[in-house]
Amino acid sequence: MFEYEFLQLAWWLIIGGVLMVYVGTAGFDAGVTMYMPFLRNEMERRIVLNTSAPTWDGNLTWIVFAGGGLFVVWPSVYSTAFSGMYAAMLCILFSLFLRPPGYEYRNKIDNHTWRRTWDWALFLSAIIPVFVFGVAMGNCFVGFPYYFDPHTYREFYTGNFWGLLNPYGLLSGCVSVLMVLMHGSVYLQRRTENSLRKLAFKVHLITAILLLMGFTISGLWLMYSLIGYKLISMAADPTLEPLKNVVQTGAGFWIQTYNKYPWKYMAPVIAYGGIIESLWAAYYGWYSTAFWASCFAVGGVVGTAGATLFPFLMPSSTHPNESLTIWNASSSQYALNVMLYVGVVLLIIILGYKIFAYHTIWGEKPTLTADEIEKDKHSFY
Amino acid sequence: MIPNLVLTDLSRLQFAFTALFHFLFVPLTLGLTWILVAMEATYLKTGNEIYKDMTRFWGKLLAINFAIGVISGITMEFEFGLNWAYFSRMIGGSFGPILAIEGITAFMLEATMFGLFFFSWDKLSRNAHFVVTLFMAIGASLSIVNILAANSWMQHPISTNFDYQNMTLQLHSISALYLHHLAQIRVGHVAFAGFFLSSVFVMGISAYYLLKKQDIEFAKRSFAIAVGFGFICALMVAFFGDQNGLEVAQDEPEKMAAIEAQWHTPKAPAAWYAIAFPNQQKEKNNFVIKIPYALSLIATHSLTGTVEGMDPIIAHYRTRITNGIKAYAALQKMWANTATKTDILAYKENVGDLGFAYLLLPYTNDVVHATPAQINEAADSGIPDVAITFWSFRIMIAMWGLVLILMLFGLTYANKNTLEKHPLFLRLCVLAIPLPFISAESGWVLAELGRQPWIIHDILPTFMGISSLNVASLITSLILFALFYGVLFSVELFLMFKFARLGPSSLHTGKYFFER
Repeated sequence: MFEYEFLQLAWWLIIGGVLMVYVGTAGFDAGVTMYMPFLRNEMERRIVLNTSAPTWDGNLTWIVFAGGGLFVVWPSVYSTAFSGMYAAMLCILFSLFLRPPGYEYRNKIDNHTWRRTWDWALFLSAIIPVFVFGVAMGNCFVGFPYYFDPHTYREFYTGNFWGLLNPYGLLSGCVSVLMVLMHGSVYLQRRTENSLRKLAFKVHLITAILLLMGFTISGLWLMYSLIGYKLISMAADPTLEPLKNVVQTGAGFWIQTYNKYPWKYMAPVIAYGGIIESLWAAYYGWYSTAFWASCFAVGGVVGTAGATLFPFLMPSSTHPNESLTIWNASSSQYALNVMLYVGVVLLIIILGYKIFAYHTIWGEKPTLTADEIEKDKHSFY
Repeated sequence: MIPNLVLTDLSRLQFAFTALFHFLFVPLTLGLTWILVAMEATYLKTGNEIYKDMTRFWGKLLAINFAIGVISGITMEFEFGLNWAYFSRMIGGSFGPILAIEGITAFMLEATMFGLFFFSWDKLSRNAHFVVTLFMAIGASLSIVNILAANSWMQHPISTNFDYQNMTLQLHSISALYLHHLAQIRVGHVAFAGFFLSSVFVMGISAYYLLKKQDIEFAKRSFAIAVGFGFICALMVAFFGDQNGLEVAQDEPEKMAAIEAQWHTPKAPAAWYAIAFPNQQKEKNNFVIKIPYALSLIATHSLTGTVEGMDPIIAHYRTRITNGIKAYAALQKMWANTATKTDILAYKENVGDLGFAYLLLPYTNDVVHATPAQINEAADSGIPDVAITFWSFRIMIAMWGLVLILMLFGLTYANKNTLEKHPLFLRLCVLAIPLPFISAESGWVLAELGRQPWIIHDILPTFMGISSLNVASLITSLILFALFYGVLFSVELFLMFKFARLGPSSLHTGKYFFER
């Protein structure tokens, strides 16, 4: 069996990685479907939808991996986050409801109103979860109002949905939407031609600049004004006595941790580099490079959030000492150990068949055009 | 504050509603994917294009079904955290791994292959596409393996230790959960139930085409594949169901007693109640129709065995509650750091019954000083709702039986190639489509309501497992679930009927009925 600390760190990295893959894949699906209501003709809408249709199901499934991982690795984070942010989670869930039928049902009936309805459904199912996830992420820095019963460890969340919509949370929500829209635009440039590609470049340019601004502002906010958390000490065996942390709060504490753990600088550097590189490559028409750069950008932004929080997962704003960290929130050593073997093996297998799937769809020709859809209009979505 | 029984009932209602809804789509996906495999294999072997069209057409219906299956499935994963936070926190390290493995192995494979299935007909060779279909089916079935392994652990928790220090249940062998006898039996039972249900779905819709005289060849071949596959599955589902019954009698005697509405232990050979109207308050049946000897045969496969009645089970509960109180009292002292060696010993001896002490919480907050009357009440609450358990079992069996009879006729007619000559039979086949769905839903009700009052059998009562929410947010979410599911289900049914009526003409190959 591996050392407990190693397992806790490894799982923090794996869950972080899975979240990056989720945002990096389901992110471009969400990004492209945000275009749906605003495109002028039906053929363009079908091209956009079909660039993501063959693989969107598999991409969305990363959320199940992340959710399941959260459940096993940090059960108290899973249960506190989902039950505490009840309304926000339902908001995400209900908007995701519109997604599978949006893809599967839209093309089943050839009627303008029917299809336009699903275009809006797809738009909402993309923008709402992305925004709310962003808001939730932002609130991880602000802290959540919850505490535990000292013996039974039943959790009590004292805030409500509106409490999440604080300025920092809203800013994070916007950053999240911009990031996804940028990523979707880069993907669209890679998978389409001519007018759609030109349109996507314009959106890419605008969202990338706004994203750079939003990302920088939220960083400066953390540095100078937002009250951060610092883990001073914890119980000898934090999983057995999870409430015995000593946590201090103060402005700028989040960014101060960068001095303690300099590796944290990697994440924002990759984020900035990725965004700029994606613009540069797209400008010269290197769409593959632009796409991968954008993947790094997305991973960098998500990674920055995770790294800045480290070792916290969900700080408690009302009872900082009961904050959930990677040390006190994790499952038993046995569960982490077994899941590490299973997870790594399965990740490799998944990677294999994912590559096969993408290669099958895009291997011969990396773009989708109107002619192809016209030729096979009953099979495409 | 705890236990809040209104909140518990609402949480249960919401879970039951969303799970039953999800379970309308799961079995069809489960079985239809294998039927597609059978059809595509026939295409590979014969090279006859009609089998490719069959695969593609039934695949279209699968897609309509799958969309809502995905939605309602994601709900389930969210819901453990949303409504059952305490349960999730406690069991994350024991039941969580299996649930996570389900997401990683089954759903991921299924969803990825699902996309390829539709979009790679022209991009892959025939053999490669068949492999994609095969893996889609494997993915769907792996899902049932994991979910049933997890659920069987809730029915009969094994390989777990309770740690009072952080109130968690910790696993010490994950493979044991998969090798669990109960889990394996139930995997078989539910998987074959899904295959059975899907066969009836294909049979029914094919029968409709035969009735309407549209695409006869297409329909006959679909019917034949479905009825052959379905008949075998019908027998298998019964075999595993019977085995499941034996396990239940052993591990969950209260569920067995409730299924058979046996208030007192009957003498062997015991009679089976075909019909009974159980009265839970008076602890007796108002009316029964008996079949002599049958109960002993069904439940124990012998004439000398019998089923434990609820009387002795309740008495047993009383003992375990009394023991549980000792552990509970010791635990309070251990938390307060005032425990002596005797307390710790008492805790160790009785920790297995700690969950039973929690059963007292709805009747008194002072568990340690519970009165005998309160203990009696708590012991009575250990019996699940007898009427619901009793009837859901009989509905499940009855629906299965009706379809089995239909399948016997179907086999004969398909064999003689005289299907079109029996319009009444064909009409009945169409009408039979909902029956296995009712059967499957009843099976879920039986398994889960029969487990009450426990969320983890003998360890954690259901009312302990809930999240600390307020009633208003639960009512709101319940209404919203009903609304969303109502609308989406209507759209799904509308499309399903439309495409089922249209038949293979919906493929636009130019070969079929409405295109000629």
